[in-house]
Amino acid sequence: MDDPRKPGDSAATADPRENHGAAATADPRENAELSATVDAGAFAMLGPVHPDERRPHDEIQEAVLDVSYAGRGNRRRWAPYVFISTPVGVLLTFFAGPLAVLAVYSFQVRSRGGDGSFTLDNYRAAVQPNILEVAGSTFVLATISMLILLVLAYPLAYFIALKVGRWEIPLLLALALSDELNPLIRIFGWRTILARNGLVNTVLQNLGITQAPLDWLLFTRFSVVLVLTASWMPYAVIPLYAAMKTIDRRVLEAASDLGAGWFTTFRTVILPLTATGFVATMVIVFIPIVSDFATPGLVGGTSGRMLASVIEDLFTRRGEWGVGSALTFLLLIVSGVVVYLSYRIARIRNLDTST
Amino acid sequence: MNQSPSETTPALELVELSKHFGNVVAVDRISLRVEQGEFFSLLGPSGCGKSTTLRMIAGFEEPTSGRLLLDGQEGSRLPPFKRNTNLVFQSYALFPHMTVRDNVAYGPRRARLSRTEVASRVEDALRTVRMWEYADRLPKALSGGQRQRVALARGLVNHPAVLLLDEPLGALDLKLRREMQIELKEIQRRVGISFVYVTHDQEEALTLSDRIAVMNGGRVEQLGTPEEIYNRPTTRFCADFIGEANLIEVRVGDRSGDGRVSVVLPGGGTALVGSVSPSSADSATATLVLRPSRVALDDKEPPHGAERAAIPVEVRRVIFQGSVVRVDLEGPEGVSLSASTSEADTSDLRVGRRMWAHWAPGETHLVEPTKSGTP
Ligand SMILES: Nc1ncnc2c1ncn2[C@@H]1O[C@H](COP(=O)(O)OP(=O)(O)OP(=O)(O)O)[C@@H](O)[C@H]1O
Ligand SMILES: [Mg+2]
Repeated sequence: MDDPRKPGDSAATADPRENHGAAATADPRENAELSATVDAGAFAMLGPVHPDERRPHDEIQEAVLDVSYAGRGNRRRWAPYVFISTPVGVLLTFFAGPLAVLAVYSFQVRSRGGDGSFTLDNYRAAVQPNILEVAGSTFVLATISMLILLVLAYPLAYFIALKVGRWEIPLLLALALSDELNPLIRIFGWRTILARNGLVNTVLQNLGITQAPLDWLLFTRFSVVLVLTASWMPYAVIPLYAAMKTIDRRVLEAASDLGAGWFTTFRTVILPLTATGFVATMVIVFIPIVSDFATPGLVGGTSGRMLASVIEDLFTRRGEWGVGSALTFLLLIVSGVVVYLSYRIARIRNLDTST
Repeated sequence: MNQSPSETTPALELVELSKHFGNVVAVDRISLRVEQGEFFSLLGPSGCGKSTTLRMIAGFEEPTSGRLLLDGQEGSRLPPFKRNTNLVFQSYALFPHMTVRDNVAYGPRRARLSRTEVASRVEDALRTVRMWEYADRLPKALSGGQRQRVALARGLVNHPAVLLLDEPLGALDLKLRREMQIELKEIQRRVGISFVYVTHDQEEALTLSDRIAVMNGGRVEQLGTPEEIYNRPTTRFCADFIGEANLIEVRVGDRSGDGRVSVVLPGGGTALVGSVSPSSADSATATLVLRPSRVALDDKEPPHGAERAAIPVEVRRVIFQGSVVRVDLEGPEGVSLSASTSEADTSDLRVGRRMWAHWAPGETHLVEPTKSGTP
């Protein structure tokens, strides 16, 4: 950015190493599109090269040099930015854009039809005791769901990655497919299973295990945790599976050979070797659980309310866009802190076993 | 450490042990006994089932059929961590997240030895393999040969009843390998544990072993002491695989009553043979095994008879191999053989020169003919 060279300068003459760049300046193709990017120093070592003597291989070398010395010449400087501009543009438009709109809303008086002047009232409304209570219960429910998920996903990932042999791919596909099902349909499915006269209660009563239908199956914290756990299972299993897959089977055999039973093997070998994947999985699972509004909204009833469904309610039914935006931002900040801390923990404990 | 109930209980016994992977027969009904404190080698070419055999002994593969006795007890159902065996993996299988020291200490810690005992054993084992200076490194910061030595230390440190070693010196250079061979043999004697040692290096097997099982295609071809295997190979494969051998197709002549057999050499001469393996009994043709080091060369035709057998040859190639010179020869009927000599002056061995190759009949053996059966 602070390069004193003017755009339009020839790359070769602007290069501080032009004094030993005889080969490059002697190259008649210096001004051609591609060779303008040839690094003078690299070819000076090879001595003068006549263009006709260049083999296709050299072209590739030049291209490689071009990338590795990006940022030196003027056109070189821009090439990588052109490459990444599209994804960055898409992200900015569809991710940062809405966030910016929300940010503006969160500081405005009565965002819908209000006068638009600056206020902090929305944030005050967002930290009222009744909302903080929901926030606390959200945290508890999300943490419980996440822990249950990890406990269940670990052995599942272990078996898929290392034990099931030829069933590995079918099981993975089944897992991925289970997530393809429309979430609403899946949640309504759970409702028919857990309802007062649903599948579970009918079976329990027909078997004579219970006399009356169980009421706590649906519209409780239990149902929220159950459905959250079931819904986000693929998101826990797949990253853990990927982590397990990097473990050399022989290393597990070695542990067993040296006298470790399965739990010791898990504690001393599998867990440390998948620690990075473990932390990643916590984050990957925790964030969508916290932002899942459909599950608590449809099976949570009043006791199983969670922040995301409160936000949804604020936006869609009560028209409180300002408060909803403020709450969204607070949630985003807390989530960011959680992610950052997880990352730090993984780093501090030096559990990176990627090599 | 288990004390053997009696002197005669082998540390390990395999009875008709087989392992099939689908259609692949990796190990085919092998039977062998490894005595207490014995250095036993499995020797054979790549893919002959050596690793699979070790993995069955260690408990990682379930035998398809047959029995496996560990210290006299049926052991094929025991999980690996309950067997008093340790495996030094062909691929090392070090714990990537642990330092060299922790890797080696893993076994002793599982055995609940005291801290000081663990520390001293680990130091001992690491010094033995000359890796003590690297104790605090992670495996990824070691070379292949260094990793292999750590893997070796990790097995040695446990003093198991049977130590299973899968080509434990394969990644080392010749000099270090020789040193480690001596070291291994020394440890094995000192600690008195049985070794089952897998290698495809016949010289290594001959040097180290009390007994050797030569494997081929999942089967044991020959089982015996290094001397027996080298001097009296029972099959063509063994003769070819162990040491260098001239394999000459011959017709079996006279099987006289006193057990001495004579054969018809290419060119029509006859010669007595030293021993006859069961694999060649009763067949009309056979393969004569003659070690190049036993072949002498002479300008004059030596006196034939009970002391010497000879065929006329022409020098084809002279190859300098360091301590010995190998001479490739062509005999009658296009038969090729080679002689190795340690004589310093070989300048008169010109290509094309006609000479006589001769040997003592007692140093030859008869094994089965080639499948095609053309002598
Ligand atoms: N898990 C397996 N599934 C199918 N075939 C296998 C399996 N393991 C081994 N084999 C086959 O069994 C045979 C013996 O393999 P093994 O690893 O025991 O050979 P090896 O003697 O140790 O060879 P090397 O000297 O190359 O290590 C080979 O043909 C191999 O392809
Ligand atoms: Mg092997």
